[in-house]
Amino acid sequence: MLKVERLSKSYGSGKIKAVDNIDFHVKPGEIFGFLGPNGAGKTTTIKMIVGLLKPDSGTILINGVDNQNEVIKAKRQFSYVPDDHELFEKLKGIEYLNFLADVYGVDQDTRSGDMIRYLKMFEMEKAVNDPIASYSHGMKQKIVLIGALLNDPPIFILDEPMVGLDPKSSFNLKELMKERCSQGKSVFFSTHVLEVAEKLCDRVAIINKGKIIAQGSMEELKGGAADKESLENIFLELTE
Amino acid sequence: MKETLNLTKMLLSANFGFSKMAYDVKNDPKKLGMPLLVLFVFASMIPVYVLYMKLLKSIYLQLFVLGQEGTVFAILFSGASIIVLFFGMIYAMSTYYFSKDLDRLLFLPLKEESIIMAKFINMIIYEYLIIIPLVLPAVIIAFEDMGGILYLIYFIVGALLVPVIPLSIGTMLVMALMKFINLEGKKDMLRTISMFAILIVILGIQLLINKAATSIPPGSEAEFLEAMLRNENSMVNMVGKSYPPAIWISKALYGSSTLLGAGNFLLYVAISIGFGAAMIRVGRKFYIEGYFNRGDMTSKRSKVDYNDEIRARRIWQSIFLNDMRIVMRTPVYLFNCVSIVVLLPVILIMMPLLSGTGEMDIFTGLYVGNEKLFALILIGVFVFVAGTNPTQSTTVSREGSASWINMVLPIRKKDMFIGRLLFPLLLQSAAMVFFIIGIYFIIKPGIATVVISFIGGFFASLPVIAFGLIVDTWRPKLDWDDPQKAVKQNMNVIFNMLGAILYVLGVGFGAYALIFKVGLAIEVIIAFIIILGVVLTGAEYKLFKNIG
Ligand SMILES: Nc1ncnc2c1ncn2[C@@H]1O[C@H](COP(=O)(O)OP(=O)(O)OP(=O)(O)O)[C@@H](O)[C@H]1O
Ligand SMILES: [Mg+2]
Repeated sequence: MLKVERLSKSYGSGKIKAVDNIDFHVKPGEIFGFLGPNGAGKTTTIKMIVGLLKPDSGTILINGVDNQNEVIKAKRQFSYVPDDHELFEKLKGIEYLNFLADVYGVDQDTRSGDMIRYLKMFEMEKAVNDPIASYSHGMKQKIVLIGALLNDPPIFILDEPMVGLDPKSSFNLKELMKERCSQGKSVFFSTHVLEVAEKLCDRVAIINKGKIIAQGSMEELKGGAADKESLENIFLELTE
Repeated sequence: MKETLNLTKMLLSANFGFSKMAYDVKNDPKKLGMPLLVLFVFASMIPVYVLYMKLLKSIYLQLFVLGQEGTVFAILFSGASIIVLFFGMIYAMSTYYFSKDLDRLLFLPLKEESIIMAKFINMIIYEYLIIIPLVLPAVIIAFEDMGGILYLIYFIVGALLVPVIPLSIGTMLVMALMKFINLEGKKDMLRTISMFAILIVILGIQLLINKAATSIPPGSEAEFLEAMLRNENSMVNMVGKSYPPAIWISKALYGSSTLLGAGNFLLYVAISIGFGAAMIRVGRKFYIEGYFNRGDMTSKRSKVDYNDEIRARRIWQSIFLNDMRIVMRTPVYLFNCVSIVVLLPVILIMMPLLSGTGEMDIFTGLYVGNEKLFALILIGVFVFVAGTNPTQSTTVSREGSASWINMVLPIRKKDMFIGRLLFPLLLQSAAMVFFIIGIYFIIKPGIATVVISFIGGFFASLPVIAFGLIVDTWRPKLDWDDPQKAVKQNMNVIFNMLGAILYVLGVGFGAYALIFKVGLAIEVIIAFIIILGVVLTGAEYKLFKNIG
């Protein structure tokens, strides 16, 4: 579904190697967690996948489409929620959502149904008629999320989605992720919250200083070790 | 005072962004290209500047023959002050109210005066970028005749003080505006409109006074000339009438060796300081309060009417709507993108109202018999207007940190190209319509002229607008913290303008040669310009598809 091969990226004319020759593969129907300490290269990787950064080398196949060659087609294969929630401040929430639905080509009926459903779910019905500039951090994040959900593509890419959401919203988001996976779609997200990763993800990859240092299902990572080591301990050991 | 200076320094470096530039260049030498390009653009203006100096010199020499050489200072200083006053209000509005840095300053233990003064000094330094090059040649030209230590001191101090009075007036007006015009809901819009109203009134008063001061009653030309020749530098009083400080500094300069000169100089300095002090007092009373009741977003918190608000549109329509909404709802963009459309025709309309109808007959006389040529020239003017409008050349930049949205969405280049061209094209069409209405106050162009120049102007502006869009797509300025930087400190605007000027000059020379040397009909030229516009835009679309 999402296949990343020998991907590298450095900033500042090669001085900082943010992502160093990484490989991973997210399969259909899978929730894939991307873990790593601050500055490990998670956001950089995600930005290359969604087309906000150009890789130095390597290939990215999104649902079989190379995102460097068939740009528009590749962009149709995912929706994306970034880690910061910079939006068109002067637009109203509803105007932003309509814009996304137009771009994703969602027809009138589907969009009404979905918008109403998600606005209710994330308790944004009242705010959606106001300019985005008047939103709190969490509200901005929710409107980005709802916008991304209006599209129903094969893969859902999120950067630190749980940060800033209230408990109810983050519960709803997790349920939505599971729902999509049960339909054979995939979710790829980065996080610092290890409990979330442990409970939610079918597989995870741990990245440190630009390199993937471990990858696999929870069981595989624990290496079948008899002592039920927590993901936290594994993470701390690996990223020493 | 130390606090003020520190703050000033910080604001300056934040505004000009030298530290960021130095960091970028150090980390990535390729980034050096940009500053070099800026230098190149400035260097390319040197010939124009030399021309300006020559013009000034010849004016000075002519005035010298009449014994009126001091007038050159009055012209320059009052002219510079009016420019500052005009732009000063817009600057004051954005510096004091639309820039967000106060949010980062208010919680610090700083005195209000320090913030007000630091921002004021910042504006003054910005104004120097215009004022100094404007007045500097005068000191050199007149040095031979008036030179001396005192003359130099008067000139330097005088020039440095030029922005103080007009900026103080502008700032006080803006502060009052922000304090008292405070209607719920449409605040930003209302204030923007009132500011333009005030600007137009100021401009009108200026022109009226100027006219009253410089017009000679019919029949008394001879007496007037005689009086002028009898009294040295009497014209200073006349030219400076609309702006008395210009009289004082002129008298100080040409009389720098006399006591009267010293007196005038002191008067000029004292009044400047007085205005500065008044500004600070007004600021203390109004500023912070006005800042707080700036445009807080009206939050309706009312449920949407889903049937009404959820509506499917074409992608290009949606892009166009976004673009337009962002401009119309952000005051700084409204000033910079939409104001030209309104201001130009107003100035045109005011010209004949002020200078009397008699002189305008000349224009009508020129027009009759040259209708086609007039239409052609009008097309050139329209293209220039399109090129100076920053709407298309900042369309991506304006989105700033939200630009990721359009980058990750599956939007075809065609939709993007059309969607982003529409709003600038709409503005350009409005500008042309208003412009033509304005012209109606001067001459009465025939319907054929109007239609031809509108259609020609539309198609001739098309490639210029598309060029601005391409430049801004290719190298948008996205890392701003303050929306005004997206427009005011954006080189793309200048590139677009230079492109438009080159295009007008190129096509203009071509047309000139074809009409007057080859003898082609003007209709043919206009048809050719329309076709050229379409073809060029097509080529630009090809180019646009290959960016990014
Ligand atoms: N625009 C940039 N210019 C230069 N270096 C950058 C830039 N963005 C990121 N980096 C560097 O690249 C490396 C990886 O950053 P990245 O943002 O991908 O980390 P991350 O894993 O998302 O971290 P976090 O958990 O803090 O979000 C870091 O060393 C960072 O300093
Ligand atoms: Mg990150």
